[in-house]
Amino acid sequence: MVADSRRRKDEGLTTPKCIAGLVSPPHRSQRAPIRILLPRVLSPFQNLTRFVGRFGLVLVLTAATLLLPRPDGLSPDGHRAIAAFVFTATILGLQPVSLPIAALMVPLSLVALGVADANQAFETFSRPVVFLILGSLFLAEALRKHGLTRRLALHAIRLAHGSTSRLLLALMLLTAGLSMWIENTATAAMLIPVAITIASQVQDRAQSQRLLILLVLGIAYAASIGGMVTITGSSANAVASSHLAQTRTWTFLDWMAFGVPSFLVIFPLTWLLLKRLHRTGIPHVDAEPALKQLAEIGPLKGAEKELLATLAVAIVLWIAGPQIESLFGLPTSLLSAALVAIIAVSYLAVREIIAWDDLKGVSWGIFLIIGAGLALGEAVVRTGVADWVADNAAPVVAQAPVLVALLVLTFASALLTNVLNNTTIAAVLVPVLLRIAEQSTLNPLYLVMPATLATTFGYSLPSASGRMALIAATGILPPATMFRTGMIMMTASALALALLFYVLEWMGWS
Amino acid sequence: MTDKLRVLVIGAGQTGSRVLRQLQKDASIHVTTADPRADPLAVKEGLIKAVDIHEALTPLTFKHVIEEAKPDLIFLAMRPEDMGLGAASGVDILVAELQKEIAALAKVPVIEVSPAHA
Repeated sequence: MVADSRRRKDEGLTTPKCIAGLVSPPHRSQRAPIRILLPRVLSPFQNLTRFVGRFGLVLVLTAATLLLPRPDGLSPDGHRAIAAFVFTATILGLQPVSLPIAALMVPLSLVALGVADANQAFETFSRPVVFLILGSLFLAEALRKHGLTRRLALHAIRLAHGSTSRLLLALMLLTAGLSMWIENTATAAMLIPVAITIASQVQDRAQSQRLLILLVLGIAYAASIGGMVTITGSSANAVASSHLAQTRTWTFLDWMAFGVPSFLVIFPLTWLLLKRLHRTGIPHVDAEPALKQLAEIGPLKGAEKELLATLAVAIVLWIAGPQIESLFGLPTSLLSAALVAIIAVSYLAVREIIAWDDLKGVSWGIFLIIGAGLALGEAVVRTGVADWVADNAAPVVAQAPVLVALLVLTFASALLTNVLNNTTIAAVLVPVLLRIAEQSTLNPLYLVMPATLATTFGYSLPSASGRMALIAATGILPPATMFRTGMIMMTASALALALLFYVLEWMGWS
Repeated sequence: MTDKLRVLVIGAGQTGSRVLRQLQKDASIHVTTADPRADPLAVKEGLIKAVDIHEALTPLTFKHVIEEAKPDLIFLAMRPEDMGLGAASGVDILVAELQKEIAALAKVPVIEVSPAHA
């Protein structure tokens, strides 16, 4: 407790004090509630120092990379592309400015370092996959506007029949189910308040806090794991899909052929492990308040039904769009994933279920992050960095036993994702892995898919993912707990993923 | 005292200050303010001497605050950026959803105030 308050002081945090006699401070009252969302108040000077320090470090590391001797076989352009990677990785990791603005600096760095011209640097921002993700964000906003997420969460609580274990499972399933189709962090942000409400019903402070940590971690992990299933699940998936689509016919369903088995292995494993690691001592939670709230909000309204139906149709078209196109002789790519998202959003707008003003709250930044990641990936290919890495790595990878290669890939990717933005990892790893596959007899999907899916396991640090950053911002769980639980989850998940792909490869799954 | 309309204003920043200015026109209204910040705008501008409840309202703290403030009416006048949670992705959604939870839990009417534009 003392260490925590010292840490908060060191970080410029202020702990809310209850004054004016209205609310007793915690040490004076046993009835005092659990406090989260402790405000972070930095002075303008602290803000400036932080910016200069972080941005300075980005520039120093980039310059240091440029000053390093150029490795044999790497072109001068390739050397500068590696510096661009260092710039991207550090600016997205350290975030001296907000993430979307940091992402916007990536094309700037590519042009400044001479590895792209302006057209090349910005071309990737208009890729279909960027609009697919934007469309899914619009759908998420529609769900939120109409309170459907909350309604579904209340149903999940009802279905758990008060069992804490089933409640965790129900909330995790709901979170994962939503995050398959809509952005992961947005899904977690929508459901964490529901977890806080559930925890608030437990009278014992310690038990309430333990339950809150369990549910919030469950929601955060499930949001990431659900994202494995589809292209829309995460920006790393979008980047990997964009690269795969340039080398082969690659559809939404092709991704799911690997995403679904991965989910079916990792999700139950995470649920079971989480229950064992965070025992709450509360076998049952009162479901009555949720039932009352469900009764208060009444049955589904017309717009809500139509919204759910639209989402269901969009999911069917995402999965079976290409088959429907050829069956009815529709123009090619009319029912491609990005256009299906746009059709769904357009329909909802025509029906006045959503309006443009509703979409102002959408996290537009992801558009810039994916575009920047793709631009970096293109530069890595164009400047020969991917070939250079592949030339050096292909013989080693080709000779290594498949299981060893898979273990190295998944663990490297999972570890990196805790410190680097997962889009950056996919942007650089995927083109390199595709080149390695070209130079060996390996199926590229067994390199690209496990490496990309392992970026899901960023559980240990706030820098690991938007979900972890969000939880860290709320102050719901101590950093040490996040790290400890995250490392265990990451290790178990990476191992399970590697084993799964080993089995799939043995089965000839594709 | 008990006959007075008791109003809880959540947020004492720019938006909350606008609400406070209007409520202060009627002396018969008993106003309680809640804000997690040490020195929000309403205090700086002298509209109130101090915030009554230094608390970031969540469903965990809400019941406690309601028990203490006993409001008849609540104004939600706090922008996501005023929560001091930084610029993490999703914070705006989280705060909006927290406010929805609070509105659902409240037994009294909750009025959400549009952010003020300077």
